[in-house]
Amino acid sequence: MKNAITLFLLVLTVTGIKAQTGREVDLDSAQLETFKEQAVRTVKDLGIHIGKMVDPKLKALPELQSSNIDYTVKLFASEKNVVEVTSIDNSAKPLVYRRPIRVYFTRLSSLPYKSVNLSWYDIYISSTFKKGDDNKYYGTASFCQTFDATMGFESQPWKIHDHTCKNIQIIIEQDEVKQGFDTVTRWVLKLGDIKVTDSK
Amino acid sequence: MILRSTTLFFFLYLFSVNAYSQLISDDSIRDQLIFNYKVKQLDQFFNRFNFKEKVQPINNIQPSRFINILSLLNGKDQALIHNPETLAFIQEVAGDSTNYISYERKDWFSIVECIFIYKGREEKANLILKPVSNALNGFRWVITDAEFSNFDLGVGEDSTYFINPTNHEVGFTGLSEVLSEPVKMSAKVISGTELNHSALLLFLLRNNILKFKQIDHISFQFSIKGYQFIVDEMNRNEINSGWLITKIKPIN
Repeated sequence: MKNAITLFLLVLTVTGIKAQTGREVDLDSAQLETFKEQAVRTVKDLGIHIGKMVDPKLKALPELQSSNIDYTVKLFASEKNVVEVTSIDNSAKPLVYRRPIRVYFTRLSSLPYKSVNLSWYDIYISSTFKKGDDNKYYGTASFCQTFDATMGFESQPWKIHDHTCKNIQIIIEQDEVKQGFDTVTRWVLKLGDIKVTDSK
Repeated sequence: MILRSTTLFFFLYLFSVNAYSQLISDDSIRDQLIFNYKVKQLDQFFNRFNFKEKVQPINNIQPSRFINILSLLNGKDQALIHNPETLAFIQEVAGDSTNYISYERKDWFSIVECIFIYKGREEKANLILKPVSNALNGFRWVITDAEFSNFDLGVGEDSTYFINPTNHEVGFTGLSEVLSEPVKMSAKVISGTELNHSALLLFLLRNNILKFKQIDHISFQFSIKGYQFIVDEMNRNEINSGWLITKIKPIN
């Protein structure tokens, strides 16, 4: 139900932007400002769904987890978007791994946490969206997150404390939708690649 | 001398805030404080450097562009904050609002340190990337150069061999010889060995001779008012973190 409400709000926001037609239409500064507000809402939405993925109470409901992952992936521009995690410890060389978003979320939802506490701080959105060579607009959202979890047996719990900062690309692209017999082009906001910096 | 004291004062002050923040019992308040001060994106670095986003020091010190740029220094680098060139640079830049950096300008680029696998072992290479725009003002990053630190083909050691002046009359037998025995490819045999590293990178990657492993480090170099400065990402759970100036030097 909550998913449906969130989706409705997103669609409402998108259609609130003046529909544009044509191939090479620029967004004006007022429209870009509106998209900045929407970017904050979408990133918060992503956070809610990541919270559900690690919530031990929802582990017993695989169908719900599966639909949650499907919904989360739809927030992104493409299944090809990746999460790149850089772990920085005291060694000279950072450890870097990249995973497609669906693989990353599936792994995240399969971790056997007993309890989870996820704290978020403000979301910072880049001041301007930059037009790309493909006529889409690109920006970045930054946020940091503290993750406290318990794993293992009740008699021997294993606590995890993690502080990570994430930068997520925000992409505003034109999307063609059918309205009756017509095809209307409108601007939609999607998420792109994610860079996670894990500094334990 | 006064400026030097100011700088020191500012950093001692900043660090005292940092030390204080470490004593805050509520981790979430401390983390929120760090999040606010951290230079989270290069876009934010531009805004703070240009004084479009003002850094508010604790204790209601009036924000100024001078303080903004001071806050962008890597405070952990004592040599940097005590260097007279650092103060001269900030004074030069902060004193005039027309001194600004911009994504759209051509006076900056990125240095991306990469690890590749070549013949089973790791090789480092720095790729130089610059933002370029198309006719519709749409931007993209482009690799403009590559620097292979341990990967210079160079010319052969045998400098005595050469293709004799009438060798063309016998079907360039000398050429066949050097092509069969590349060690004879000395400067006497081949000229113009100045490598186009971008083209070499493309060739090696396309032919699976070189395999990309990972990006190790990203930095950005800017030029402004007769100075060059480098910006690196300092990942640490402190106020003075994120994208910060790590090197400043005058351009001769």
